[in-house]
Amino acid sequence: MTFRLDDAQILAGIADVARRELSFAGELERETSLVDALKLDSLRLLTLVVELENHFRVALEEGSETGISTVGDLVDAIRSGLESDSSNTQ
Amino acid sequence: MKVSALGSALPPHHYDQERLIQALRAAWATRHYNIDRLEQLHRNVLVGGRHLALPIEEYEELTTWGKANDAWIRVAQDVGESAVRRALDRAGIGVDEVDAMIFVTVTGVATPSIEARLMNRMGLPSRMKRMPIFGLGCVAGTAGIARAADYLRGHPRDVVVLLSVELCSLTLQRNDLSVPNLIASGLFGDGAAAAVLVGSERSATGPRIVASRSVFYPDSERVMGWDISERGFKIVLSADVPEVVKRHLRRDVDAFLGDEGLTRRDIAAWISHPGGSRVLEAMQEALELDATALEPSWRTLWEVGNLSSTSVLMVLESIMTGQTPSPGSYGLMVAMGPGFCSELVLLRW
Repeated sequence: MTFRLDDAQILAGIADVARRELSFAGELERETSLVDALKLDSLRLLTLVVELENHFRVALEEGSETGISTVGDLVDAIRSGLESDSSNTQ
Repeated sequence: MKVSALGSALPPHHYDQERLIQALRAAWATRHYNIDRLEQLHRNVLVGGRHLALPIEEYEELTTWGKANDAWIRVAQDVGESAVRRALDRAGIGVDEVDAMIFVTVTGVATPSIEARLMNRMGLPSRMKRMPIFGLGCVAGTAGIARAADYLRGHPRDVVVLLSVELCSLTLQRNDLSVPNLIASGLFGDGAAAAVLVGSERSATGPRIVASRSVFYPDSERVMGWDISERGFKIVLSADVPEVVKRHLRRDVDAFLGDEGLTRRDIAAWISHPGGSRVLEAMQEALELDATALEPSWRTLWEVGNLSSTSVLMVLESIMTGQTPSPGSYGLMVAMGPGFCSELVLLRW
């Protein structure tokens, strides 16, 4: 059985992880700059990526985080990873 | 004052990085989904292998801080004694001639401290002054040389031994699967190094200590350090270290060398703490060094990992036992550590 997450659910998951792992207090929208909102340096970015992979049970492409600047980019990357994992297991 | 000789000692249990990754995989899998990413993280630190204080299968038994620290006390004496004896042999100085010993570590606690226990094991003279220093972290190898030189200014006929023992693997909290701890578990190794320093009224070979400089960076306490939990040391590591290097190191090195009438171009040997690949790259960029200038540090990092305060002494040992700089040339010891701070020592061969 495959569960499909919509963008709002992925966004909510990202916010959950950011609050839990990066002590983020606020709201995230697609247009939000990740670096500014989450004060991402290389270590916090790696923490975010690893914890998002744990949360969504998805393997994001190695190095994909370098092309991500907004929350929307991250939502797209996670959706793409979930779709890829789903097609690989079908 | 001169650094007469150095000696190092590594625990006999060596594992290449792939073997260590395999050993850690099971623990990672209890919490993390994408194990391939964590494996890659451990390969990216540019460490080929590490020596561990214990055989790898014995770490399972270290279920409390007390057990880990007991192992630390036992192994610290073994590798500490070996390093001191090797350094004294190279210096041609007897155990009974040691007037003072500075012991530095940040990976275990002991009272009586390790150098006191070595007095019993090695028959060091009962008059020997003991100076155990805990907490300087990675900067303690360079700081220890500087403090030994400070002491020798007032005691020009004395022999000082600086001993650094760091058994980083015994601080590893296997249930801490946070990213900083994952990085630490791929980078840090175990070992000991000792330096024999003599005052200006004793004849000795080896580089002269010309000057030293301490620089403290205010309000940077969370750049690096330990938090203490009921399970022991829990690493504090921020991504700021390469930034701090870029922001401060060139200015501080230039100011220090300028006060001695020198510039970076006068330095023939760069003796840098190999904190990690990104730190070494930042140092190379900040100090505008050519690709080979930090080669001894890169090599040490690859061969044994980051040994905290021990590492910079091993780098100096490799230079002093290899192709030593020509007479009259300068070397600069550079290290940064918790505080956050840096220590610089100018040597002249």
